[in-house]
Amino acid sequence: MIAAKEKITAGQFMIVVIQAQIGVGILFLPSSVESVARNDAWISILLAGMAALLLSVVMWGLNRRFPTMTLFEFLPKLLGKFAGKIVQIFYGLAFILECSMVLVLFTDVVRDWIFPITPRWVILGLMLATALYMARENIRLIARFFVLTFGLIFVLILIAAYAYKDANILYILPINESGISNVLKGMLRSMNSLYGFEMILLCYPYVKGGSKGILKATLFACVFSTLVYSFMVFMCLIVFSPEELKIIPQPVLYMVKALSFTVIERADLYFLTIWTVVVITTVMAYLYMGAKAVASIFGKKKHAGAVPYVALLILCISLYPHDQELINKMQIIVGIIAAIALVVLPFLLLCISYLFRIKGKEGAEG
Amino acid sequence: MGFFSKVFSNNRHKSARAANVRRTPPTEEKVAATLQENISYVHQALFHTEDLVNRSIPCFEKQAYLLYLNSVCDSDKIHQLILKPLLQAQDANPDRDLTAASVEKHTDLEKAIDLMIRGYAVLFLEGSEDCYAVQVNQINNRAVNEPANEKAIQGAHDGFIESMQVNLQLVRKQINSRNLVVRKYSLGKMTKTDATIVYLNDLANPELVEEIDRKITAIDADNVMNGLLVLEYIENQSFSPFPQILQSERPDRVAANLLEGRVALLMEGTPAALIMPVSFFTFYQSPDDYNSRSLAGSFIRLLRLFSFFIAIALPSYYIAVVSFHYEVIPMELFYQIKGSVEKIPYPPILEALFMELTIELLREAGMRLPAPIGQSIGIVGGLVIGDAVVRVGLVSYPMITVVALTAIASFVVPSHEMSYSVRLLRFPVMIAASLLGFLGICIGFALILIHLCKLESFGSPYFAPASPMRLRDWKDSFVRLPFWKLNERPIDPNPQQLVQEKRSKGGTGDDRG
Repeated sequence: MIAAKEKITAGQFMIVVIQAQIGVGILFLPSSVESVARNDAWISILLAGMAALLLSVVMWGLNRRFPTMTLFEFLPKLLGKFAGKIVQIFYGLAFILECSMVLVLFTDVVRDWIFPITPRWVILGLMLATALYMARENIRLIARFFVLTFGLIFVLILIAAYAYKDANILYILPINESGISNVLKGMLRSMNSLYGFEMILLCYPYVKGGSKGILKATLFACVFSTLVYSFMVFMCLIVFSPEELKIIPQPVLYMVKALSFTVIERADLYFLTIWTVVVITTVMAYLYMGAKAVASIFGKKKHAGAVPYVALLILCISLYPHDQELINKMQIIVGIIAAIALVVLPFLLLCISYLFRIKGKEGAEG
Repeated sequence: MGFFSKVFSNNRHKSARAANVRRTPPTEEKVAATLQENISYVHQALFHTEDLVNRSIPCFEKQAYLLYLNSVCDSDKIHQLILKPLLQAQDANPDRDLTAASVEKHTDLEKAIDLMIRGYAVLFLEGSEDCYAVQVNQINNRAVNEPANEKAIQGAHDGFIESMQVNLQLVRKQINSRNLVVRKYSLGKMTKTDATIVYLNDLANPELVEEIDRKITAIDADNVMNGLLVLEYIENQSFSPFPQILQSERPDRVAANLLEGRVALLMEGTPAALIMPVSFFTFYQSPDDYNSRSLAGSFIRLLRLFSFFIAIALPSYYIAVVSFHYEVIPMELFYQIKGSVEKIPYPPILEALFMELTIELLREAGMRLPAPIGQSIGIVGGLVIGDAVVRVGLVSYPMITVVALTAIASFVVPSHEMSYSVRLLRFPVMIAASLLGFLGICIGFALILIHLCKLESFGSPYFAPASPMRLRDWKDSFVRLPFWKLNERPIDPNPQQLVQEKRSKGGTGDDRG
């Protein structure tokens, strides 16, 4: 059983999911989605948000059948020992790769914008060390930290919203110019940034209250993240003309760079600083999940011991891609692995659970 | 390995040599029937110490002796409480004639000896198997003055002194409740210092009291002479930069904390109470907040919390701006700063460290010296060095401004321990800023916040009510709303009763007509 000292409330859980979702995407989403969906990029994000809602319902439905267990505890029950272990390893790999991807993109931005000649391992090491210090703890303490830093997301939104004075709403017209297929392509690209709701698979038994509350929290979190992302993309679309957007890699930063608030200049540096914390929380969430996966692969109950090794592995992986081409390649590979782990597998597992009528023990409220 | 375990073992008294020296006193020794036997036993037990006085008392049919240590006893009291009533009585009877408030009858000699050390005079009678211990200890307390380091502008001006008895009385005077419970301990195997924990029985969480009790009774040291020693034995994390127990010399502050369901520890010889568990924000509350009106109190409190950020972040922000991100300041200011920074041969971090350390030196020197010299040190240091150091070209003017502001901000904290931790914490953040600019500050602050989130003080979260977030408790942490708004106690010490008042503001609304 899980001690009351490790339980979190549904509200805390919602913020955990949001913090896991919102991360590097704030800067990368606008340009990556815009490159395919053009001025309809915001529609792609909204669609991706709906897909995220659907997926989180699937995961919730799956975990609801095992209310006292996390993903790694019920996998062996569902698939048998051997297949269960393989899927566990796969999930561990997916979390570790996603975490590395986040860090690679983060380091890229930091090197582009602030420290062009600082070695990558310094930035990566610092980020991972900070995340490691937190991820060793139980989910309750992590949730406390996430709640504390949640306000920073609003600061980011406020800074970005100030750019509205340069906006030209006509840039998004005509709607649906790029066609459905391109919008769908954009949606696939933006899915990567909305991952994070898989936290539900690992936190379900730790959340106080009924399963309805958990579902509500996850759905709220998905809606919130989708709105934040689509707000950022929308701002970029109306501030920059389509020609400008083709050239600049991180439109959000260029957008805030132009702002001047009499007391401070160069809001982009402040934006980046705050964004660093937002990214750290994402890294923490994935490090926690990765460590949980690795710990359960080796049959350990506590994940704290696995965290340093997972962090080291993530460091090694994220040091590997050193040019844009490799990063793009890695993004595609991670995208596929994440899609299998978070889209295909939960569906399959849900089907297996229903077909073979495998359920967790009753007792804890459903 | 043996060498290392010897070096690092924290209990050096466990070595075999020390154990042999110690004499373990018998736990009990009956008072013997013959007087001589008793007296010689006492003399032997106290190793013929020369402040032991035995005075024969001629007023009984049988022989009687009064034994006491004249270094701890008050001869006036001996005269008033023992000799006078006994000598004036017709046929003296100690059961009837000893009029002192505290007279104890003992059959155990060992206990009588322990009492003698604490300032009791012991009366032995020939042929009697009882002895009478009368409390005649010498009391020289200083007056109950306002504590020098916790001054309040308005409100009460009394403070704790070195006597636990008086301190307890000061606390009782504040809370006239039968629920106020005092638990006694004797700490230190050699010093046997008296200590008490005080709490409100219907408020303080029993688990909390139990945990504190367990931690106090676990102390197995020879010397526990003052409360600050106890603090390190019972706090959760000694290597955290943040203090987890509040020390206060003000009875009103202690009483207010007891009324929130916290526990206070008082010790003989310590003019302060240790209050636990506390949260980070308790250190930023001062009695002045409660003695002034709500708006003023809130303003001052916000200012103090803001000073926490200034004290830690301002020098590192300046270092980061000057070394990396000079773009973030407006152009006009930039030229000003550039003009004075350019002439300095050192990197900003060295400037800052030099200046910060100078200020710490001045502070320490000013504190050690008597007040008149201390002031002149402040003038010499602050004015002369501050000006000369710029003219020599070691430090730039903006840096002096920043460091001075930081120093002032770090002294705003109403608690000394928190002021120390703030001053300590800014050095790592400054170094991080000099290495990685804003990113360094960001990571430094993230680590501090993570630490604050992880830290617990006696099982209650240290950074409450910011994390775990409870907006209701913000009413008395970030700001101070009027008292009639504070309907619930803060939840972090887990009090037994959360509600402290119902609607208390009567007469509002339509009672004009």
